[in-house]
Amino acid sequence: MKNKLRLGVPARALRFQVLELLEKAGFAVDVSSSGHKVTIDDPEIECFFSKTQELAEWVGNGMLDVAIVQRARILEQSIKAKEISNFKFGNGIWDYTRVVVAVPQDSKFKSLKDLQNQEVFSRLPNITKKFFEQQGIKVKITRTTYPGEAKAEMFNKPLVDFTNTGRTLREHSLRIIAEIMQTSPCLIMNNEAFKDNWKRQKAENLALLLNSARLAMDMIGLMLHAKGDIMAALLDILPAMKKPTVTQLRGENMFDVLTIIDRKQARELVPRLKKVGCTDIVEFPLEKVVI
Amino acid sequence: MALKNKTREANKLVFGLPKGSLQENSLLFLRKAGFDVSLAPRVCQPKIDDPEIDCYLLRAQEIPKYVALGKLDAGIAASDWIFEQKSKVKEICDLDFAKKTVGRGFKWVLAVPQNSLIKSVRDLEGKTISSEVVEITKSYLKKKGVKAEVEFSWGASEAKPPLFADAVVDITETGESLTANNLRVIDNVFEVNTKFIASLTAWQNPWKREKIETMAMLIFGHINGHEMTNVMAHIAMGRLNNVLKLVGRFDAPAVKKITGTNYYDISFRCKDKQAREIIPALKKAGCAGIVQSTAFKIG
Repeated sequence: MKNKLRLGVPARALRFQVLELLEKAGFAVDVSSSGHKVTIDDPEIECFFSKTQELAEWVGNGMLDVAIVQRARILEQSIKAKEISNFKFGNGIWDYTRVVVAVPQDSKFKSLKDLQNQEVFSRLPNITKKFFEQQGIKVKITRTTYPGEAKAEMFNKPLVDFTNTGRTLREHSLRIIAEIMQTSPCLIMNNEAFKDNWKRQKAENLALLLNSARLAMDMIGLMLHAKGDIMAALLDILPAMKKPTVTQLRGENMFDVLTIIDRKQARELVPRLKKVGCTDIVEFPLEKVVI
Repeated sequence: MALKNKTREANKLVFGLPKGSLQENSLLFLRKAGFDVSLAPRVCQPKIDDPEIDCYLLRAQEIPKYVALGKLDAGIAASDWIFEQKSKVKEICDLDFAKKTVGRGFKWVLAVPQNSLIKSVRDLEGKTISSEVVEITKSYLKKKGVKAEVEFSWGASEAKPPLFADAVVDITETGESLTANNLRVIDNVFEVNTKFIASLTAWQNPWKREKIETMAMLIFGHINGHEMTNVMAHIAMGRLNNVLKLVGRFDAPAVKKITGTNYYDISFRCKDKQAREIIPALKKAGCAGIVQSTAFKIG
């Protein structure tokens, strides 16, 4: 198909955050009332909902050009595809997801070594196998599907699973004893599609927009006025993430400063800026940021 | 004091707000335009924080009628009911803006059963069409030069063909309800817009007219603001001209030299949708520190 990018969108855990990012990236997003079909207002992008296991496979075999897929899934399924970009979020959080080894709270397993010759439940058997081989620990891996936590609790077995906040593990009295990897959603592209200039450009632009919307969530804009004699002190305080836009106000020894900072830094930074003598400090929300 | 009260009494604008599907959006844009409207459950007279406006929550179908009669000075109504009731009103502006949609909106369509032999409106000569909007349907048939009987439907029109009518003119947004009832759309009949309307008598009254125009201006300001966004980027002096070529088509790009550096700051306003094309292009042209926000000022 000419000038059409087929994009796979995760249908389950990552669904709402992907749709939120698409909207923030500037696309109007529409989900059919059955919840099975997603449409965006770019006629050059055709979207599909599916489980990420399938999306990863379909990008691998060329049925889809690109898809947003959990990184761990690509490794697990040995998918051959180009990784265009990755995004910092997990299911329900705007941070990375972890793949961990967890054991029942009151079991005899205290560390990885205690798992020697034990049966381990895993959502990601291939990654688990490789991990324990590297550790030199022999385990019997039993594949399990979502949700893993309740099964590990019921059968009193060690478990390899995804965790975001750790809440579900705690709810099922499971304790993390090791982290196998951090994982995040990636935009992956079929190798053939990647060779098509138009498709590659389109995918890269999409990744740029999604990333800029994601970054804007973590940052805020800051606008302020400062007298000439405090400029040096001010520039010292401002983080160097992005060069502040400094302009002199006409006919005065006064400067207008516009910059963006990490949202979390603002609460410490603003009082300090006030202290060195900045005035008219205004914080404002951002929609997209490309550094 | 007494006199003052009296003038105030005379200077009241009676405003109709639609109940139902348009309600939420109508309240939203009034709020965005700076009017605080509070609505207690089951109360049909919402409170608005402007003593010169009296608000009534009414069925959307009835607002055009009351505005035409001058019982309401102004209101929000849908174009289909304005047409259907042949209401003579002053249309101030369109209000379809706030909702992001993917190329669709409410529209009245002509539909027939999936397996019907009727392929186009011409095949309906002498047949029966059921619809809630008789006037709209008749006017549509007249335009197409087709003579057919139009029967008023109280609702549930999807159920009518083939037993009770040969075709229906029904309202749809996604077409799902039609598909679920095994119907096939054969033509678009009428596209529905939300409109801000005023009564012709109120329009003659200078005070009311000014009040309505002010409201329209506030709402329009919000509409324009809603669509527009600001983009700012840094670019090295040597590449400035290339970037200016890219952004030249937008509203007055502002270019400032960043004090003490060889960099320039360019900022401009554009539509939200344009931002998603221009940002990757700016990045490619060598810009750094690209920021999009509706909140910072340009200049």
